[in-house]
Amino acid sequence: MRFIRINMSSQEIRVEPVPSQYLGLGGRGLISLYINDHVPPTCDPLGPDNILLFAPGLLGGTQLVNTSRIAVGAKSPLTGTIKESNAGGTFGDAAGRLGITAIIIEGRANQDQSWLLKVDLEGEARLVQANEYKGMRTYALAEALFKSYGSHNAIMCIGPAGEQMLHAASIQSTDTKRRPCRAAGRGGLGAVMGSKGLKAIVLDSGGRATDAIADPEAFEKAAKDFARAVRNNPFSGDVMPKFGTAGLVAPVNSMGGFPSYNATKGVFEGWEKISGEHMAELMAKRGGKTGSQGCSKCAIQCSNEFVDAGGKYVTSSLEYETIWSMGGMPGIDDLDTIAKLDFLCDDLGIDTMSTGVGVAVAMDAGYKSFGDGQAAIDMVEEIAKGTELGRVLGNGPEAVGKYFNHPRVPVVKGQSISGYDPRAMQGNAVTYATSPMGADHTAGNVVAEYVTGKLDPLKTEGQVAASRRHQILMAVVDSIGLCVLASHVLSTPEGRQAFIRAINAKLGVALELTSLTELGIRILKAERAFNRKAGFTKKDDRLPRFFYEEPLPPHNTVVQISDEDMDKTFEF
Amino acid sequence: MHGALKCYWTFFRDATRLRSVGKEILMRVQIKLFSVLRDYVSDYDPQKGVTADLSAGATVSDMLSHLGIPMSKVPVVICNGRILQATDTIQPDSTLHIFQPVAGG
Repeated sequence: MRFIRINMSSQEIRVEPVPSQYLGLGGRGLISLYINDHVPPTCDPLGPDNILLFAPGLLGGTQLVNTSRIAVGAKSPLTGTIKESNAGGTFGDAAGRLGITAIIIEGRANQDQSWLLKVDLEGEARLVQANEYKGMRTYALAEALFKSYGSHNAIMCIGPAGEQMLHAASIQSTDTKRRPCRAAGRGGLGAVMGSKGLKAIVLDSGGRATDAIADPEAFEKAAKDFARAVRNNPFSGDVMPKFGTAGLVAPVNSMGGFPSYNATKGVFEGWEKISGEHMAELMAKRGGKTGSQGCSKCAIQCSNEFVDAGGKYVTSSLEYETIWSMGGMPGIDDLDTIAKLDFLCDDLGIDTMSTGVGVAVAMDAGYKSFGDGQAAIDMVEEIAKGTELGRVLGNGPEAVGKYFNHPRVPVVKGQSISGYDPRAMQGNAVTYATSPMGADHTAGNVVAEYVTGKLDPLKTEGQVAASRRHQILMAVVDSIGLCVLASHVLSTPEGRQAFIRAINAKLGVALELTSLTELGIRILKAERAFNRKAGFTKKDDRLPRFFYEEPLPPHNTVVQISDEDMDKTFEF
Repeated sequence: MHGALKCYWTFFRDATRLRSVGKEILMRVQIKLFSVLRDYVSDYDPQKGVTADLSAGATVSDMLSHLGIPMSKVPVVICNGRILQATDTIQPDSTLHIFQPVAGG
């Protein structure tokens, strides 16, 4: 239980015990409360006053399955709000095993300097000059760092986009195959890392200093029950291992909620060619992989390795949100092109979702035609070259809309929506509009309520309450370090009970479900408090006008949640 | 399987199913299966899907048992962009998409 605090201005490193007010917190909860307490809300996100945090979840480093997420947070240059974005891979588990509660990056190095942070097996942290890695793309960087420091490490790093401080830059995280293909993609946190002069963090992944568990026996039993619940769940145990998140392409199109051609249609004509089922078939033929492991401690195996027609590695892991943003949005129905775009974004260190949506906005503005895959690849390559268009695209869809003077830009608080159109899923309209993070696919996705028939996606009734429930739940899930795909078992009694028992055994407490709800509310309140101080009001909790005015085929509906109802979302 | 043989087999299979339905008025529906549910129809063709002849007034439940898809797979049926309930009546000439449940990811 310790903070590793790095001042990039002076290169001073301090290791401190966790202050009492942050004990029992992890991941998003810790980050959001810390930022609200310590970051000046009106500061320049790319200036020395912003603080960048890396925090494993509360159960990171324990044996509980699917709890190896690493949460990253700061004030976002993309949204201007508080921001937490989390990634899979091996870093969260490595941090937990080293007994790290958070790595806190303050200040800013001289702009001609680049550094990397190395934490060894004993937990000793040191800054190393990294000028030789300047400008390097993430795959080459990861390879060089594993060569220098050994394969028993976990890495988070930025690519050229982060170094250029582009507002949609990601922080890439290495997976179990040592590829930097997992991303804390949202909110431009890569730009914050770049502004600090920090190119990479390298953690030894073999630590044995996980924070003590109060009741190890009870924890072990709860962990076994939770793992069983994850494996027995039809979504996490059946659909995800075979098709990964790409398994969502078919149902979301069938529901008419797959924003396509820059969110002008709800069904993409070529969706069967980019579906998870088609990808699995293609990979079986070509010798690629589905159902592979990307993250430490994973009981689901949702990852894939996409190979080309010659069997050569292209990217990992091709996920639903990227297939949507690089497929449906720019009208590209070719998985090979989408896979190339995914790799390119990971390699440059930029968010696939913001970038794909930016390309779609440019196409909608007439810059290129929808469906032109080569044009999309060329546009993303501009980011690497640092050209004018590359910088515009790298700053996210809102910047692209302004550049081309095009009004149809599907963002909230500057961040693009995800692959669920708010006009076809009214509850996701509420989440996009009101989330303190800007539009976000993991902030409180209501889709499960529709699929299970609990809620009609096209009616207004019940949507605000559903969004509220899911936003509270996700604040908790992101604080524990739990993967969103495993979190769906929390809707079952056995999954929920095992999860609460694991937390209680870890902390030596006797919390009820309501205590977790209270934690979620506390986190959301802190995030909203920060945003208020940064100048955000309820008028910012709105979608762009076109979502209220342009009906989306095939249902031909618009967002119907009133402003008054949107404002009730956080009436806790 | 040889084309003619396959055709005969499909006819035989459907005829068997029709007998099991045991009603005189039938309606034909087009069905597309996704995820592991494809395993319930032998030689499933993802492009074409599968057709089924159901008795008029058949419900979603009836259609699922016709296909042999167990409720333990928690199948989700979508028609014209709308999720159907197990007791909903299927309309003639519908195109139905059947999934396992999904949640965001």
